[in-house]
Amino acid sequence: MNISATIDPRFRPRGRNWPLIWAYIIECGGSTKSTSATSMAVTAALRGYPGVVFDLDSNMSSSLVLGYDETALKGKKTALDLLYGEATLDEVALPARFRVGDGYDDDDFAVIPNLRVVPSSPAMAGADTAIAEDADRNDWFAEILRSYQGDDTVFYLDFPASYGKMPYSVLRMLDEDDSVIPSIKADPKDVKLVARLVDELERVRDKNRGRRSVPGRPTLNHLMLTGTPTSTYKEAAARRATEAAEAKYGSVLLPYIRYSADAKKLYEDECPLPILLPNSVPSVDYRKVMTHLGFVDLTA
Amino acid sequence: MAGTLPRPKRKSTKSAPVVAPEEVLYTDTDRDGDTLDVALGALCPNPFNKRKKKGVPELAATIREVGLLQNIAHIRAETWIAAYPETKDQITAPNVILFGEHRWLALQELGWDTIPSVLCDDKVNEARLITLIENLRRAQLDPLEEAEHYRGLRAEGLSYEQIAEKVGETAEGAISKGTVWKRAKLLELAPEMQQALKDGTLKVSAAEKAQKLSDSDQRAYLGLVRNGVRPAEAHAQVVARQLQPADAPVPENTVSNGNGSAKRNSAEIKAVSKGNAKPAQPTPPAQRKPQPAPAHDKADADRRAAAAARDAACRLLLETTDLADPATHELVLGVLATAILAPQQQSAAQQRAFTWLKETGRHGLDAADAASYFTAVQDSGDAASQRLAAFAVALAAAELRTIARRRSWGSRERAHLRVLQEHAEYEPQTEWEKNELGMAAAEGSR
Repeated sequence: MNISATIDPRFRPRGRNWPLIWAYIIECGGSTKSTSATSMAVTAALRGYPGVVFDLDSNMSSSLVLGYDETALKGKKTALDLLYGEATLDEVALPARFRVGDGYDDDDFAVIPNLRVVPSSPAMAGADTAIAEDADRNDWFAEILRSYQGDDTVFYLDFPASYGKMPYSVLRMLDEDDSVIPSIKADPKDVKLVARLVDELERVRDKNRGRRSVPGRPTLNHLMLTGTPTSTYKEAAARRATEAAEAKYGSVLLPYIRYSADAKKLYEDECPLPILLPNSVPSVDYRKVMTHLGFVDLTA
Repeated sequence: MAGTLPRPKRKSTKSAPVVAPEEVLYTDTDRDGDTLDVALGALCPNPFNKRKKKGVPELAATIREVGLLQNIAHIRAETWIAAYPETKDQITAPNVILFGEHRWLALQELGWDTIPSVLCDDKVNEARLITLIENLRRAQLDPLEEAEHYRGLRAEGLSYEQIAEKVGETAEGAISKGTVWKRAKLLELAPEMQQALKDGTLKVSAAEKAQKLSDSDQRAYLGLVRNGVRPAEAHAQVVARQLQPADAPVPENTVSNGNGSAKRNSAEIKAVSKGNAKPAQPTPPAQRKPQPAPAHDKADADRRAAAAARDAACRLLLETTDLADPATHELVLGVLATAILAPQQQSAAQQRAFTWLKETGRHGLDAADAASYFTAVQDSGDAASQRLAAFAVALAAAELRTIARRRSWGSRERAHLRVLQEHAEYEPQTEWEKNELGMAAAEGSR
């Protein structure tokens, strides 16, 4: 299937040359950012929507889930090379894959079609410092977007659980057509931290107000709640957190990703959830979310 | 959609988690930098440690008083042997002490069971250097111990310059490449010299002076230095003695050469200079550093040849001068005056004068060495003997001063030469000596 000839204009809002940007960000560890980013990216890719997952977190979670651990990345370029301006997107992005064998040969992995991953590295922990050292590096993401020529539909950005110079350099390139998607667990702590994200986004908008060179309007368009209560999972905290999220952010809530113990297996198996357990409850829910967002199956 | 993809390889379905050894947190294995209580019997000395084991009882007393203040360090035997297979025979325990052998010995004396020691397997490749530096810091190694370390490092492929750098970085102050080289060369000295160095009866600088001498000359040198002769003088004397065998069979010829054929004289000088440059030595001259300037080399050889010729002239003068003859009084007084006006270098001058007197058969008294001879002469009360001895010493003092390496001759040296010219038929033969004499030489020579 080839959609590159005629890219759906909804993936190139206002006639721009780069795809939609979905930023999975919230300053809350273990809030299912990587799980949601990879699951949504894989679901879309398997439905025929090409995309790129940017792993910007030094813990390398989404790199691992998409087939690249530190051993596999030896000698390969990473997101840090992008940030330093020492490589292009096409040089760094690797075909997403999952493990089917034991070793590190090509036939120990199966490629996930339509999906690429910009792998992270432990050195990404120093990304903020790298930008602080050289103000020009603040434009690293802007330069990637401006020189982009491919046919991807979405850039899925998996952030570390912090707001710093690196997240800022990316967030300021988001417009209202793009989405900041805090993916949080149905947990009172996670829900509480959304307010801080809203403040941070407001700060980014404020700093870039009136600036023409960058869009500077990151918007919290969607809130993703994972691990929500089910008929068998009835924890009070999860129920109350879900109620709180509904009350505060009802207008942007995506369909829920219900709780499942299966969702905890993807890191151990180094495989994205929709491929690892396609019939598990969360996999079904991620497909519902993608359908909700207009990513109907093009291969059907 | 996903149905077309192959089945993922799963780990989460396994009953027990798979844990790679390197993933285990805080394993029980000992790691470099860990301080372990090692049984004393499980340690053996470092084969590279050349330091003498002294002061152990004192150290033991201190440790009994205040405890062990500083841990020692060790390397596992298998690691050590892998790095230094040649020392395999000396590794008698499961661990090799990297440093702290004295403390180990002291604890043995105190009857302790274990000693706290830092595991340093990662330092095995620098073990030789660490041992040296530790020793240099803790106690002054004797120069030969130091030399052996340098030789070991040299055998490992380090240049003298690299050794100097590495040792200099860590030791107090800097150390030059030349110092390292000179130390390493000490190992080529005669056994007696090495022993004297170890005993402390010979200074390093004095030992270094004798490096180019043959073993027998080194022994002679050592004897002189032990008798109180200054190293430079002792060296000059030994070098002068080397010349004598070449002159001795024909002493008169040597002197009369001054008036004899130039051809013969030059041959003589050549033989002499050759004898000087090539004494029986352990190292062949080819291995020596080439002299920077051949002109300087020539002047040096000339200078030594001249010294040898003058030495013979002095002996002749001493042999032929009749002190009873009033005609000689002026000569004697002149020599004595020169000697007395000069700063005294009595022991060396007496040594040489004694040699001359013995060789010319005019010493009269039986004495084993110069000091006892001159004491005996003094005590004898014989005016003629005393005068002869004084004359000989004065002559020798003048000659030694003339031999001494100095930039140019002054009036004292010229006066000495004039005496030899006028009374001993001495004639300067070499360009160097004529140069040194300047105008005086031009007037004096025919």
